Amino acid sequence: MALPALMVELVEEILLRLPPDEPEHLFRAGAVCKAWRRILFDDSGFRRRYCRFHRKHRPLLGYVLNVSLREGVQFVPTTTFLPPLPPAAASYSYRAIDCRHGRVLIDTSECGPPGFIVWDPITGDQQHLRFPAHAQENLSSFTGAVLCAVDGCDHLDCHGGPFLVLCVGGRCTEGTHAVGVENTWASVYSSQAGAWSAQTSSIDYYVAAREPSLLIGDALYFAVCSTAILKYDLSRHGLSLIETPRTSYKSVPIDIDGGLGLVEPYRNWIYTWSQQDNGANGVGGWLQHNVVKLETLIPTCRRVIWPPYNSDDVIRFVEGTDTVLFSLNNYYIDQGVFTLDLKSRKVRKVAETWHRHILPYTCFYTPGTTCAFL
Amino acid sequence: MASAGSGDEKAAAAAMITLISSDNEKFEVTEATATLSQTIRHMIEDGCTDGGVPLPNVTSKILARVIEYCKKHATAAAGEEGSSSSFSDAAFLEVDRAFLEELEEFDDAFLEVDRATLFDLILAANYLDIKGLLNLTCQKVADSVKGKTPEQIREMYNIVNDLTPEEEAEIRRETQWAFE
Repeated sequence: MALPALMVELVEEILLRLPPDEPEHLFRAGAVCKAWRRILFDDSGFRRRYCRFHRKHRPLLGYVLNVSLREGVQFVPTTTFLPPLPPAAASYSYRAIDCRHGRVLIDTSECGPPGFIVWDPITGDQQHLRFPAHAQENLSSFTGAVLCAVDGCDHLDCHGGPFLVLCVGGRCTEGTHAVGVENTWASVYSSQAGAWSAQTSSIDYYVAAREPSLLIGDALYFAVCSTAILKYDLSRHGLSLIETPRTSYKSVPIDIDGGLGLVEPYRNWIYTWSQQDNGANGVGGWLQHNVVKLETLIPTCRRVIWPPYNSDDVIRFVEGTDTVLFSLNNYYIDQGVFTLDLKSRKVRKVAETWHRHILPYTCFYTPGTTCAFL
Repeated sequence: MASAGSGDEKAAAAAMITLISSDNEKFEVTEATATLSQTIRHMIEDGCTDGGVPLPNVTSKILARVIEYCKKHATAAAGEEGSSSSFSDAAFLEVDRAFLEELEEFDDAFLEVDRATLFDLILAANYLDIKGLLNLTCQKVADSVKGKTPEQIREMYNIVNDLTPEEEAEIRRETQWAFE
């Protein structure tokens, strides 16, 4: 007996419910028949509805990896999705330094003129930009961030739209070269204006590491050391430092329901810190929470060991989710890359090999977005 | 007015709705059950339910199943309202969790139907605008599509392949990763 025919909008209702962290199902559905294909490809509304339907479950498609100075940027998928070769394939000394809103920021200053590439792994699009001219003088260190430039955008599907690149640079103060006496400034590139902004006023701080940033509301936060976070305010175009409790390695900023928090690995535990309105309960206004003891979640663990923490362990917050991506290099527990949901405390191993320089990449990947590189 | 029968009974009697299936079978349901359907809720609000609500697109077999779903979920909705009043202690949370688990078991058992019935339920949930039921049934079909090849999906749902061999070959070439 033939099944009752489902109206197009009901087939759409079914396809909407295919999981975004397993993108192959939608692509296979697109090969069933012309009607299904039309729903997925021709109706531009489908992708929009799909992203909205799953807005609370932004899929982690993989992570961008700087393998080593001589091997450049790679994309390690955590789903079936594998993008076309990253631009870094052309030059082994490119370094990915940030990922946000479907874009990857790559530093190209190790080879050729100092600058960045903004790479969209989904569409394959690459945009090259030069360093701000005013930055090149006495530049000793820098980091950067990339983000969508559209006010009020939900960032579910802003491929190809205007973007901003923030460059935070450290400059040697004349006559001094000691650590701690540099000053740090920021400048923003707008793809719409095609130009860099003026520098912010400098703060006396040394920014050496290229840690990825976290965007909450109108501010970008950078992990800079174990007692502070660097904040860049997008609306006021200014830098400031936020004191944090002393953590084991670096205060890695996380987003706890829209508020600033920290995450750190210590003695085989993963802790988070939340910023309190008043300092009564916590250390200087921060309150520590135990999240998980790794050996209880990772079955291959052997025993608790010295040293208390491993500076090889790397933790990255996955923006737009409650998840962290962590890379563990602890022979007594396990090696590899894992995701940890900070709320449900579920751990999943996504790679067998430890990597230091990892940047989580989240994006919706549906049939409608592939056309640019097909 | 003083009369025989308690106020509760009167309220309950006043809140009954009659649903009439396409094959003319009548179903008496409470308003709370019926208004899980947005379509029926609007009819009640417009005062168009005297003499019963004819549902020419839904057979008695499917309507009976839909009512079974609505009864269970209307009770759940009432329970949720009750528990959110002032108590949030562990005992209450425990009761809530047990109730949610029971509801999940009900939903799982409810979905144990053949594909033709499942499609009829989707059509009815869409026509009656019952969001929970539409979500449940569509998710069931989506889960059944997961991990299947296009051939298997066509076979499961009697879908005619109207793509030309060239088109199919091109699709597979373009997104080979999805078919491996």
